[in-house]
Amino acid sequence: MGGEGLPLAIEDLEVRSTDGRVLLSVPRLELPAGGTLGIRGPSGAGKSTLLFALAGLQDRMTGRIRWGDTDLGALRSGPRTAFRALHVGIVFQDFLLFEELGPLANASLAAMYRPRAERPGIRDRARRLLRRFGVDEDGRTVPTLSGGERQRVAVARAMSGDAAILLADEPTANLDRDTGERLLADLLARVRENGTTLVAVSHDDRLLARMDRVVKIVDGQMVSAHA
Amino acid sequence: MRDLWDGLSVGTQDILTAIALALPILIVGFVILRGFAPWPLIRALAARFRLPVVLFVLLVAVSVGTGLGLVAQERALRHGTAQAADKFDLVVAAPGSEITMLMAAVFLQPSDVPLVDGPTFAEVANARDVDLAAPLAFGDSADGAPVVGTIADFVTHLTDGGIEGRMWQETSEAVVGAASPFAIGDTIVPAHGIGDAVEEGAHGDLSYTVIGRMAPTGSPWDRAVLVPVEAVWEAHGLAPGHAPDSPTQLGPPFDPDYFPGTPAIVIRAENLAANYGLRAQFQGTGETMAFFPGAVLSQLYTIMGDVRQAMSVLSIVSQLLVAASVLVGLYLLGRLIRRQLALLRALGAPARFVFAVVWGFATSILVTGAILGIGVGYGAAAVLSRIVSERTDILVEAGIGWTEIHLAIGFASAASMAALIGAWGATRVGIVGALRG
Ligand SMILES: Nc1ncnc2c1ncn2[C@@H]1O[C@H](COP(=O)(O)OP(=O)(O)O)[C@@H](O)[C@H]1O
Ligand SMILES: [Mg+2]
Repeated sequence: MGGEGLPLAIEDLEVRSTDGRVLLSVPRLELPAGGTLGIRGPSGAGKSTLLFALAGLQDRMTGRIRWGDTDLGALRSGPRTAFRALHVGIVFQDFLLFEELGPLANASLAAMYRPRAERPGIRDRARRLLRRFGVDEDGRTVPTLSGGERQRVAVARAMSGDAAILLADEPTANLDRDTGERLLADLLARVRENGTTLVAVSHDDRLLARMDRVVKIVDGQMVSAHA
Repeated sequence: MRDLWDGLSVGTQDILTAIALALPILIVGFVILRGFAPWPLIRALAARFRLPVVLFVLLVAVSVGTGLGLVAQERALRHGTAQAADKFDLVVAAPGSEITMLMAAVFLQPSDVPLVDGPTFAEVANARDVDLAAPLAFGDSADGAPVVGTIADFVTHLTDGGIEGRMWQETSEAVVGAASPFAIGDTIVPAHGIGDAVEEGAHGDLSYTVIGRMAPTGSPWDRAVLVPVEAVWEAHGLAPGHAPDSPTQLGPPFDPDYFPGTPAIVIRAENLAANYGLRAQFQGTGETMAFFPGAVLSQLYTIMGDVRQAMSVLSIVSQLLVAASVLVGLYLLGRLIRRQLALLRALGAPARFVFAVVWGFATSILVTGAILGIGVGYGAAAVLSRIVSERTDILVEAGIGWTEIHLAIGFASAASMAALIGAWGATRVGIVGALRG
């Protein structure tokens, strides 16, 4: 693994709610390996839903989501989880860190369940990422971190597995202007260095402006795409 | 296999049993945790939810502890009563209830029992192989403690010779039990009767001087005042036990013609086998019955065992309640960490890892609770023992033995197997729903 991104191809994707309502419909969407895609749209439009679907986490989903040769919808839950572990890094909308663990333990969480041989690599990368993002790695737990630091730890966690795909849900929300700008610069630099495929949900025009492509989702429908 | 097991020492058997009981946890733990390092995460979860975790550990400790405490207490009670009866190899008495006689002779519980007469006593005392035949005379008390008339050899037998001060040499001298409030040199004025039926001053100006104190026996005899049996007879205006031409003699041989009777004769035979011969000789003769107090106690324990079995329906219900509350507790803990578990799965942790975290979390709590439970059980048993000892004067010393350790391990093992269900359930929760929640 490592480095090289995977291309994305979506066909006839539909996600429904428990009561059968269509939450999200994407007839067709493609992204080359190493490409960056921005997703914008009003709150409640279905952006997070799309991101979860891309990670293979969404239930009640029809159509196809292909990452390279892998059709996520065709995988059972075990192999889908394994695919996520190997290829996908996710930054969640509200960080979702383990409160009583330190920054390094959070960023290198995957070391707890990845094979022993990969653990040192994961810890090394997590440590380097934290240093690069300017977060003190140890001696503190999450409650003592600022919002910006938490978000950076969450990004480091998403990247510490050297995933080919990075999915980020509003990574610069909750951050002040400068912090957001710095995080964005670091994140994009890493993504471009590694050729990672990036899908980022955001309202932040600075972020969207730097994406290869941006799509807008309103009411679960993709309404516009511009290059 | 059976022979091999029986050939092992008891200690080895206990250790092997403990290991066998712990085996489910060890095997499941090995299979589930292999290749993972979930402990920092489990510690973090425990720290995050410390209050519910501590409460749950205490719930387990108290339920395990009370169970263990009762088991330990029951064993201690058997041991204590058996120990108290240890010096009473064989008792011969007038026909009647063995249990009543056991209570009267060994545990000094006042009761009205018929007497064995002089010729019968002489027959018993002179039987072959009889090493010691001690008459007992009950009925008086001093400050609520029983005054018992007997012979010097019995006092020596009871204490294995451990007497501080000296043995009595005349009817006005007394030896007191180790726990008696009377001190050497004190004067004791006996009252007629004991308990509610006591009549102070019924014996005129009769009094005893304490000249010796027995070593502890761990029985109600520790509170008793022991005096020459002749003194009790004299106080009640009965024949003195000896012919008028030897008025100062104390102890055997007694003259059958001047023997007022005794409710019980405690016998020690020259050897163990002779006890059975003596019992056969004096059992069911019409004049006497003969019984081994130890054997009567065993029968009592058997009855108590049956009662316990009848009560075990109750205890099954309470055990089920404990098990149910443990499972509910596990379920609630699972709900608490639901979002964290969903996060793990979203990040790509395999289901077995999530399973390992939940199971490891639950099992850590259960094992900690069970270990604390052993301590709680010890404390509960110690308190109960003190109360029982104070009330009955039977030395009851409850300790935590292998039985309790086996029970604690068995509980932790069984409960951690139940936790497997909870862990399995935790991996079935919808990820996105839990993440958004
Ligand atoms: N847990 C949930 N159960 C059912 N419907 C949900 C849940 N969470 C969100 N939704 C619905 O899914 C739609 C899309 O939500 P989401 O993808 O979170 O929007 P966005 O990220 O664009 O703000 C919304 O209409 C919302 O009501
Ligand atoms: Mg959202």
